[in-house]
Amino acid sequence: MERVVNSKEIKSILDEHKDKMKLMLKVCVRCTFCAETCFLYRSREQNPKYMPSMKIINSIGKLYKKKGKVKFEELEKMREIVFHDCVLCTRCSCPMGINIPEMIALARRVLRSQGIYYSYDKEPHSIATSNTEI
Amino acid sequence: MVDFITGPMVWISCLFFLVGTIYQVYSIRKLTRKVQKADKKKVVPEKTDFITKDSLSFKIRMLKYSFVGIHREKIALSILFHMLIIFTPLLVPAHNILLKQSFGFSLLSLPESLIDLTTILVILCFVVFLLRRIFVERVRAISSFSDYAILIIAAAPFVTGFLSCQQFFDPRTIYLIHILTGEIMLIALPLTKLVHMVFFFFGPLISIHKQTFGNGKEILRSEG
Ligand code: HEM
Ligand code: HEM
Ligand code: SF4
Ligand code: SF4
Repeated sequence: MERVVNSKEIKSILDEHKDKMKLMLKVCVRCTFCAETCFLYRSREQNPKYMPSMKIINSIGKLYKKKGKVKFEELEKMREIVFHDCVLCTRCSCPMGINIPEMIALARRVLRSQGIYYSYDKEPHSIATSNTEI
Repeated sequence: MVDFITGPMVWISCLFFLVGTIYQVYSIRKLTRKVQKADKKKVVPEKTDFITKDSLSFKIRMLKYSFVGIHREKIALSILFHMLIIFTPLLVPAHNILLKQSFGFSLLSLPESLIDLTTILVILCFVVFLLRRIFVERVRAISSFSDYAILIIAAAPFVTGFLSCQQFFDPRTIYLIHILTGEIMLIALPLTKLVHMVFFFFGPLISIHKQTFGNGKEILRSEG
């Protein structure tokens, strides 16, 4: 089933937070120091996909770069990142003061606006098995 | 063209750097103010909310165990690199001679041989950063073209300045390339991720986040 993405709606959500998002994305020096502050990164074999900066670059960063004009499959990939690979525990920190959870929460909001979210009650297995996947 | 690069372009790039940097500080301030207002208006704590706020000592412990404890060597190298990258250009004798000619004042100049040494150290640091970006998996994972480009933009004035001082190749051409790359770097400072210079100080100090020094609060709302 081909689902249509409402790029306009995405863009209007992004525009609300445009200045902040732009600055946050620009200012990340890619130092990877945030990695160890995320317990998921620490506990899952230090897989870079759990690195906080990786999560924002591949979710909100991508949405911003493409100004909301993304394909449905790309949003599906982001769903994994922002609902599954991050639990919004707000423990991560960054020497630049980038508010990573805020950016992830914004990405979640964008996805929810397109009817994409995680049904934790219906998809528990993917959480249980993700320990072993690399 | 040559006249333009060695004349007006120098002023344009220096001005661009100053104005751009001040603007970036202003824009960071503006952003955090906006958030403060929104927070006060929108979020009215309810009785069932837990308001969490990290204490200063917690933040310091967080810094200690999350960053400094884990990345001790990298942070030491980074501090060395940044001290050198900021002070070397300011203390280059040739720069100070040009300053004196233009404005009648100059900063401290270090001997040429010492500056040669610090320039070499800076270039070595750049090589380490480049290798790290290519070979460390987690750094490579989040690096894009612009990260490599910015490393090269920032390294170029040091490499060309060094070559120019050593009179390698055609000194006149190298000298021109040095000025051009220096100007490009000055212009790139406020435009690219090199703005981290201001963000490092202003971001954690004034942005509102529970782990920064801006003293943000986080509200945990019990749902349902
Ligand atoms: C924008 C205008 C600039 C001008 C007009 C300028 C001019 C010069 C001149 C005339 C020299 C001496 C070269 C020689 O003796 O033949 C020099 C050396 C040098 N410059 Fe610049 N420069 C500029 C920007 C920069 C910037 C932005 C940086 C670094 C961030 C930089 C880093 C250096 C270094 C490190 C040396 C000395 C290298 C050594 O002694 O080994 N310059 N510059
Ligand atoms: C006072 C000012 C500055 C502070 C506090 C600062 C802080 C930082 C920090 C915390 C990092 C990440 C740690 C690392 O990867 O080593 C970093 C990376 C970097 N900084 Fe700065 N910085 C400042 C000024 C500058 C300036 C003026 C330049 C260049 C002209 C610069 C160039 C770089 C580069 C190229 C990197 C990335 C290294 C890499 O690719 O891994 N910084 N800075
Ligand atoms: S610690 Fe901050 S600046 Fe460094 S990679 Fe993570 S988000 Fe980017
Ligand atoms: S908020 Fe997300 S990225 Fe940050 S520490 Fe928690 S799980 Fe990791």
